[in-house]
Amino acid sequence: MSEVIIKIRGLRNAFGPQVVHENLDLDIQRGEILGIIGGSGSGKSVLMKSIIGLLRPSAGNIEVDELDALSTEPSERARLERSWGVMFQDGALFSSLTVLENVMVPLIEHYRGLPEEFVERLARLKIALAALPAEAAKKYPSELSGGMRKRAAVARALALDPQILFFDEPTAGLDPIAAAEFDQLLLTLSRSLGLTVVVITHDLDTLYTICDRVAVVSAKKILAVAPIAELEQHPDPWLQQYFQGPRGRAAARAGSSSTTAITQPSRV
Amino acid sequence: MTESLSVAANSRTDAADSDAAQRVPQWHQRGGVLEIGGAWLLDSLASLPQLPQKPDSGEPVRELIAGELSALDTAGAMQLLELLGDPQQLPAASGLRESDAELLRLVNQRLHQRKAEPKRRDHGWLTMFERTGASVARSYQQVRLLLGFFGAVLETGLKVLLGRRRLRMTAAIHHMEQTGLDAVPIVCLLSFLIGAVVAYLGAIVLADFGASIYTVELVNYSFLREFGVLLTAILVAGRSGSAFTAEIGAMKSGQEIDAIRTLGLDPIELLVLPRMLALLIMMPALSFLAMLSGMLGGGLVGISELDLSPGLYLTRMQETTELRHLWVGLIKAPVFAFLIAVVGCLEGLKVEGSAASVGQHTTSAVVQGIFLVIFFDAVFAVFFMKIGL
Repeated sequence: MSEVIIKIRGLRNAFGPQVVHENLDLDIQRGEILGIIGGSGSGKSVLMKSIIGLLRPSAGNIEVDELDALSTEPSERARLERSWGVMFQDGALFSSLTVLENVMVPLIEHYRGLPEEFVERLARLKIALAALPAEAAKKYPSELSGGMRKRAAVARALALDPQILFFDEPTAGLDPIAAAEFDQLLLTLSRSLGLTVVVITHDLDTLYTICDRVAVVSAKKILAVAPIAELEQHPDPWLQQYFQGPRGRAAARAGSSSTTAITQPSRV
Repeated sequence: MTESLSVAANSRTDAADSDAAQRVPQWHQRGGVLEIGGAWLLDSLASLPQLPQKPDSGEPVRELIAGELSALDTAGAMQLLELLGDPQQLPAASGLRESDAELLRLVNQRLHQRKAEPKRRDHGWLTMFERTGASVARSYQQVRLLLGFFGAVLETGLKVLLGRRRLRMTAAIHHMEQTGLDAVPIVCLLSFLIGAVVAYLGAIVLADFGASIYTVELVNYSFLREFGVLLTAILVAGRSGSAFTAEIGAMKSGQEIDAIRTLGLDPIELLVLPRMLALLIMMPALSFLAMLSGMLGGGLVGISELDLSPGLYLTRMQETTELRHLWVGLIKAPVFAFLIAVVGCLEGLKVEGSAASVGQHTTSAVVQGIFLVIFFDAVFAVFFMKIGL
């Protein structure tokens, strides 16, 4: 767990005169689940978009798996894009395609030579890995519940067997039971497929139950990266409020009471 | 072992190039023993000309030797299980890393979780009948819905007249500007051009009969009775009908319509009536401008191409063109306005959920709007002819 898979140095993002990140450094370790927190508008999503190349930073370096993530060279970009999967907030599934077709799209587009039967079988496997029932494969996104849409989005993000998964607020809008199940899904996938997972979240339960480390984005920089127990002791007033508020305390209690279940990742 | 693997199973791989051999999936079955090596990854599988397949005569695999396996992902695991014949129980494995064994077990479990799905057969003829029936039923539903909506709009309109509902004047005037004033340039330009075209046609065809002076009547009659209002209606259906659908549709998919209802307000009063009122007022005005522009375009061509003096052209126009033609044209304008507004708003209210739905209904609103306008124009033409107007 000491190998760095994503390395960010001196990142600067600015929209006109408004500077979002200034000289931001962050290392993400291979195989870890990293949570990213920060106040609204602190630039969590901007950080994620810079890493996956949806947004070009005005300065700085980003290395993903020893490749320059800011490279614009087509073959290098294709390799980069195959190395990560992204789940957007509400799934961002293609609404005119069924779940199965949604998962098949990246496979077909990236590997034209593969036989269709193989691609379909593989897509169904990904749907099963995302813990969706097989019947969901033939359905359109609009026919699914919010929780199932998110699972379908996970299946699509898994399509190319990425090493890194990015999640933007995966549990937003889910009921607590569905959110807890989703957290378990992330944990299972990360452990059994050896994935590195980066989660932007406000869900304190997610932070306590699945994240190995948490990065705090504040004042245009990463304020701290540490396991959550250490962050609780951090003197920063925002973090104090974050963890010592009523929600933080409740999640901490729930987190510590179920630690035994978490430290031994659920083997399937 | 690498050498025996490469030679026996994978002649494509250069045995000497061990780096390349590492990256390509390799497999070799001897009796009940399957030896695998190289990288079993989606990337490397895709680079093979053919995916690893179980030989037809192959006996079930009892033992897996995986000492040379360098990497495994879910795609590789799935294909490896296929090679093993999708067993319920994984065979004894040697040299398999714990993480890879874990992955194999997970994939195997998930693959077996799925029930085999019954294949649905497509019967060509049956499907054709089924689809025809479904589309007939849909059209019927559509007509019923349209008539119902007509009724609802009329009812709300009456309530406004009786003072039980408010008329939203600000909204109506906003829409008048958007659907009427902003459309003036395009409506005038288009009518002007069509007027010129009609005059050219008349000049060419009628000259053969030595009757080119009748071009004046041709241009004026056609624009007053038909083209002025028809061109305007088609443009408005494309411009404003679609805008109504898109605006209301976006509100519908954002649950704004639901919000209006829960606040105890009436979406027809709030959204539909102002738009309809705007079109009812602006359509005759636009049609009138279209008639004038068309006649101007036709007149200019007539004067320049027919060598008629402007004075003669105008005198001819005054002598032959009666006022009733203007009324025949203008009376249709509010009817068309009503049709376009009703269809546009109804399609907007029918939008469901996704962005694709907004697009579909916008298309549908324009198609239906133009269809209804032309259909009713034909009905009017027959009617006016029968009553001798």
